[in-house]
Amino acid sequence: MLPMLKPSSIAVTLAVLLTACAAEQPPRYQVVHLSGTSYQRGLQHGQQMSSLIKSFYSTLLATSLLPYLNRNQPDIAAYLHNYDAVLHPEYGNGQFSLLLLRESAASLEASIPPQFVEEMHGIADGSGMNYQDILVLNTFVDTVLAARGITYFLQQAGAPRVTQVEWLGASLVGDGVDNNGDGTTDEPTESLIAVYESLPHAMWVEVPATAKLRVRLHDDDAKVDPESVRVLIDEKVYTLDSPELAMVTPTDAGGLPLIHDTDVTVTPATPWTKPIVTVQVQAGDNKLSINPPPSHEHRMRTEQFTVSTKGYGKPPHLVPNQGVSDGTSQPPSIGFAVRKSATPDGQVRLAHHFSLLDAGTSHKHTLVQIHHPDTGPSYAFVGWVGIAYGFAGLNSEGVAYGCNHSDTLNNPLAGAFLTDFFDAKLLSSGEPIGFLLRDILAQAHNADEAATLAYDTTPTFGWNFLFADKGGKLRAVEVRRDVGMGGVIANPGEGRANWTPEADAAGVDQWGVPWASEKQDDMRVGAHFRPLANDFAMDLGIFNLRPQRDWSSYYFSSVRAMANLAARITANYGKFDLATMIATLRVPELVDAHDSMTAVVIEPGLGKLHAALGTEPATDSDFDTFDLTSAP
Amino acid sequence: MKSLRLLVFLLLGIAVPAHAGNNTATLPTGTIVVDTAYFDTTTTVRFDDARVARPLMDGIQRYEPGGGLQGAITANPYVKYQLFVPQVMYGATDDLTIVLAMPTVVHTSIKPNLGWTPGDYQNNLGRPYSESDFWQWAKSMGQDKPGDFSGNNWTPADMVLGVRYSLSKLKAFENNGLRAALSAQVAIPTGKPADPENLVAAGTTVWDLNNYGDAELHFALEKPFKWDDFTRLNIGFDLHYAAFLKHTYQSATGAQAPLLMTFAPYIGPTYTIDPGDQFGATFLVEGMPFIGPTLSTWMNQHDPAKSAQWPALLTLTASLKYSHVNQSTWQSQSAMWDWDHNKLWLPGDKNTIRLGADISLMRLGLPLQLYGAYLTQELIPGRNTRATDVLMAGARLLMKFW
Repeated sequence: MLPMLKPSSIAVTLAVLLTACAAEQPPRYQVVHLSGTSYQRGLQHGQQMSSLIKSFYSTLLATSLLPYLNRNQPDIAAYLHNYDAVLHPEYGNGQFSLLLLRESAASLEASIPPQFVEEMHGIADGSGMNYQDILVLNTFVDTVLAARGITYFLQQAGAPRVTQVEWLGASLVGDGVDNNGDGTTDEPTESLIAVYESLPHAMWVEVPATAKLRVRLHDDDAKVDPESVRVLIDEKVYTLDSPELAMVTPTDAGGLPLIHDTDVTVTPATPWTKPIVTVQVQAGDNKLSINPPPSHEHRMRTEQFTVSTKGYGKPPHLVPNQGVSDGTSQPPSIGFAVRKSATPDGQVRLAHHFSLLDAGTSHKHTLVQIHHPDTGPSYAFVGWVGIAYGFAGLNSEGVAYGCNHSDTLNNPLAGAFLTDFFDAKLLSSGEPIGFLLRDILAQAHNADEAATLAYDTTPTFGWNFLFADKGGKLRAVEVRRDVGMGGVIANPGEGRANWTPEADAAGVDQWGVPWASEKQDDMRVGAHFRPLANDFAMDLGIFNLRPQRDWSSYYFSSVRAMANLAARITANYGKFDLATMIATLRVPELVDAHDSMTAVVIEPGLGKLHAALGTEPATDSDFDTFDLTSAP
Repeated sequence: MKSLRLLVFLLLGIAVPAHAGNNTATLPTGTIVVDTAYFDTTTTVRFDDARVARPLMDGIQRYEPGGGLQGAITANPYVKYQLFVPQVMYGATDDLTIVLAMPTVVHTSIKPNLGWTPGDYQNNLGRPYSESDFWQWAKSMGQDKPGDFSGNNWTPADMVLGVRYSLSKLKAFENNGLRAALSAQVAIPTGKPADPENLVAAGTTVWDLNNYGDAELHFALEKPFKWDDFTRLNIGFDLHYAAFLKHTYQSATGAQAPLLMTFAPYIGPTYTIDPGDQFGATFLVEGMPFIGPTLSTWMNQHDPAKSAQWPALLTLTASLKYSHVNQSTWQSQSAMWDWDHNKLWLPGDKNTIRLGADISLMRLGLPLQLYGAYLTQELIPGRNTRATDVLMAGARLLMKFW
């Protein structure tokens, strides 16, 4: 008997036959398991990720970063004639940045251990890409961060800067308090910072809430544009249009006008309302720069300092220069680790969120690499296709790390200038950060060994490391290069710090406060130096090379992020299980919405790496678990 | 990088509409009809997955390397195609009509209407990027601001060869007073693809026009209603299936738009698009409110009775066409790039309302029909499809009749 066919079933069948399936979204990130020799692992990586490696190179470098860096050629060639496109046509026709990165990569290649060079050859062969391009992909971070630092510093050098700050109308002299934390109480100049420098903590404490602020702005070659001045005090913004704000050109002791200076005075109409008050100052000059576009005046970094008001009761070094989040900056990379009493189960955990350069594409090219070398421990890290390293990882020995960049002029590119001056070429040198991290994964059996490897490196830039191991050891390391005039290093070996949460001499500041811990069982790192705060200072006459805190665009946002993180660590002490770690990484004030790249929580004692990848920001993704103990 | 490429959809009324019974009529043996029509089409919206009207393009977010979000390029493109469509129809037998149509794009213009949504505050500017800031920046990266597109002047589109076979004489239809026909058509690839390097451009191929398929099959059934021995109302439907073939296209190398359209290095020198097939049904109502006088002329050999069944002087038509549109699939060497396109071409549907009027002068002694129509896809929201509005006017000249 034939089955009865209903018209409705015919229609449904027909519709199914006619209707094609919707396209499926590719996975938001990739995972590769690599085994064998270094070359074999690189080959597997290249073969499996060939298309993505090509698109990553194209979208991040060829059509984004390289043309972006080309825009700086005129400024750089003005000082370094080796990059003059007329004298050296090989740098012309848009080839400047690619050639610079290739030359720098070739310089760095000499410091890359041979097994990683083999691995990069494997990636190139597997993907069908040029080895030179793979080498650039694996080293551009080292070169670009150093070059960016120098370029940003030079831009800042042409902009106004804060040189003096003073409180008027409510004297701090005679209040019986050491307001500026200099160890002296009620000295005649207690209300005045005659030579301003940025600080990670409060500049004054116990300031009357009715105080009147004077800030002196100086521009070496121009004058502050009054319309560009913006002062924020206690979350209220004052500009030229505000009756509370006044500007004058000051005079010297002889009554002559200081034509490059502007005194900005703010007299708030009402007393401050908060116990901790942030002051932010921003200004530009009256010189319009058209190169690189868009046309703009020279803008100073948003300068920020903090005071506490009467009755707050803490000395300056215990009041972080936290500032306010007004949307003009994003938090940088952060990492923190907890153990023992900070957690409910005693497990050690390390969380890391790396933010630097997404450019709308990096998050689409994220990759979890799980390596099973012929010899040595297995390890996993989060990174990007075509790149043989990542800024967070774990090995089967139970060693976990997170690594952040930390701006410094004490880097090999600045060193090249200090050695060869106007004949310098911007060639990086030292051990590229990625391959140092790979060395750590391959060699370290515990956090101490990992920290030693980091400490002993010849760094390409400023780096902040956080290590944790399955034994519960936590370590932080800061490094920068040792460069000096004419290649002579002034204080060799001072560019490193390596400490633990235990309050030994290395782990505390001059007041005995831990650099980066709230208690005994936590550590954190941001994108600014703590022990290495005086990373560089050198007056060259034409340039006054200054420490990170005086020019880095990441500095204040990093200080703010670390203060925010410290408060959350304190509030959740004892509760840091996996969920709390993840929740902390997702706190909006700690997430760079547009340059977030990878986020992980690592449990070295369990051999687990939990990664959030493939979205922007990364922390919008679920944290997927990779178990190194069960990986094939 | 998402492409700014604009693809346009218009409706071609290629059919054999000689008289009442638009979708079932065939020409008498030996009859030749020359039909010419002018189409003016505009496309300004697309419908998303939730049937909400959106601009043809989403904003494109742009980033400063390491400096966060510069902002989003917004676009509200206005796309206009003007076409001239000559057709020749020939009645091979009373039941079989052959059609050759040669659509020709008279002109295409695209105004991208670019705008800007500012992004993150840029410390070195002291402000977020303005639109002017961004295009200054882009120019320094080798990317000029895209301008309007104006082109395709008198450029052939893909030709169409079609046949219609009347089934009206089949007993099942004849006994029930029904008219029926099967129609088939194929496209001959005479169109021109869009310039792959041009950010704002459109071509003239089946894919660019995206309304008639590389091959189509129709089955139409109509029921005429007569008063005073003349058909004054016709109700019918048409089932259609339009198949689109996979075609290969050149990848953009960035020669003209290095910042926004450098694809070839990672998607390969070429890529393919397999457009989603379309199928659905049209419901049609025709009314003949004014049959008009029937004069004694040379056409009816001075015998008005011979032309009693000729088309009414005025025929009004209203139809609603539903088309399901399958997934259109991009395929290149980059699954990520493919997805960036595929997600904009998910399965969906579109609804076309057509209102038309035909004036036949045959009863007055002129072998001429004039017609016009307005078609809109905006009135009833579709899903994952672009909506086109069309104004058309045409004329048919009967070259031989008896």
